Amino acid sequence: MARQRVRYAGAFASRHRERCIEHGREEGAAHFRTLLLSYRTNSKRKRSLSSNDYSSQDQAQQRLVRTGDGSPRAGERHAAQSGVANLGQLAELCGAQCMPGVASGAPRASRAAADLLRIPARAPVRWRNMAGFLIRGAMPVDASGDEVSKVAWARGGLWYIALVSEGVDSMYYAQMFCYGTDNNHVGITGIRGCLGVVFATANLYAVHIPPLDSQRDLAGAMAFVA
Amino acid sequence: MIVGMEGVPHPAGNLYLFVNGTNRTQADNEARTIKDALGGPATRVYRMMTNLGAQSGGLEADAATIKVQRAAGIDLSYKHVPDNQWVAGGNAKTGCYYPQMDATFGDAKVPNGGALGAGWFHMTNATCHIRGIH
Repeated sequence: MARQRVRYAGAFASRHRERCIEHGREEGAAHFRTLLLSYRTNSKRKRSLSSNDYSSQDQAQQRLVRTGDGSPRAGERHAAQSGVANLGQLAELCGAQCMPGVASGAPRASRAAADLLRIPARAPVRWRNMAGFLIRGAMPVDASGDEVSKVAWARGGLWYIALVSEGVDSMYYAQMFCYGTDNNHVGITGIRGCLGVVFATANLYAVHIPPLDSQRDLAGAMAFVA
Repeated sequence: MIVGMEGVPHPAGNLYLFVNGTNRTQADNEARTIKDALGGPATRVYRMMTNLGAQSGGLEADAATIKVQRAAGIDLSYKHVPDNQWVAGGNAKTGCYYPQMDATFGDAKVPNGGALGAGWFHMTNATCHIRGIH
């Protein structure tokens, strides 16, 4: 399944490049060419990872499966290699250059597409527009595919975008004396004599408790749990 | 923070504590305190004993950055992230429990894209001493 999604992602970029060329949209074609090259580079890099690395091939494979559900997260390993700052920016780029009708309008279609891809209602409108773009755009013009294949194609595209576009927005790293939270990714900065604590429930919570004195350390723990 | 944001006195979950080498000898007691305050979730203390430079496992190992991500379960990993590989970004802190330090620490900061990439070590029995707290 994961390999299928990889193919979807590559095919997504490739197909849209071809369509932009067909319609004389040079900027769009150039953009999708960049995406395609980025995808291929990342793909090669993934294959060359060492086996004792956290990002080993199995891990990477799991990540593909995990992000294949359309969730706009993960792919942090690739974020720095992409010139695209976030999903919204990519939606604007794709929409403006290739499918202006979808990006700027058709809210009902976008809403339906976003529901289909399980994009949260609170996500930026641009993401929902992107869903509309993916649902329509990822299908071959003359294809008579059913709803399932539409979703599969669009999720492949969304997976790819999440992979290359996740920036550093959705995570939290606790520095000295500080605590915070994120849904999916938290961390703690340099721990030597300090204590790092994470509580994993519906959200992830992290606190960084330096070794000061027992009273202060206890204050940190209590502020964290309160 | 946790109880307030979860809206229940004893939220279900798992508690993880991270210590570098032989530092923080009182960590088990601190773990019990936090565990009790949260209503007794499953709690483990991870002592990172390898992969943090020549002094790994002792008092003077390289500082470890901890990364906890939701995967199929919860993914725990660590590595040394040098000072020059941190960039502005990520969520703002919820709070700082030492008010005098509030202005000094806690600007939203995360490892840069490269640092978030390769080189993380899973917390397993091979890399850490793992102790359940009862």
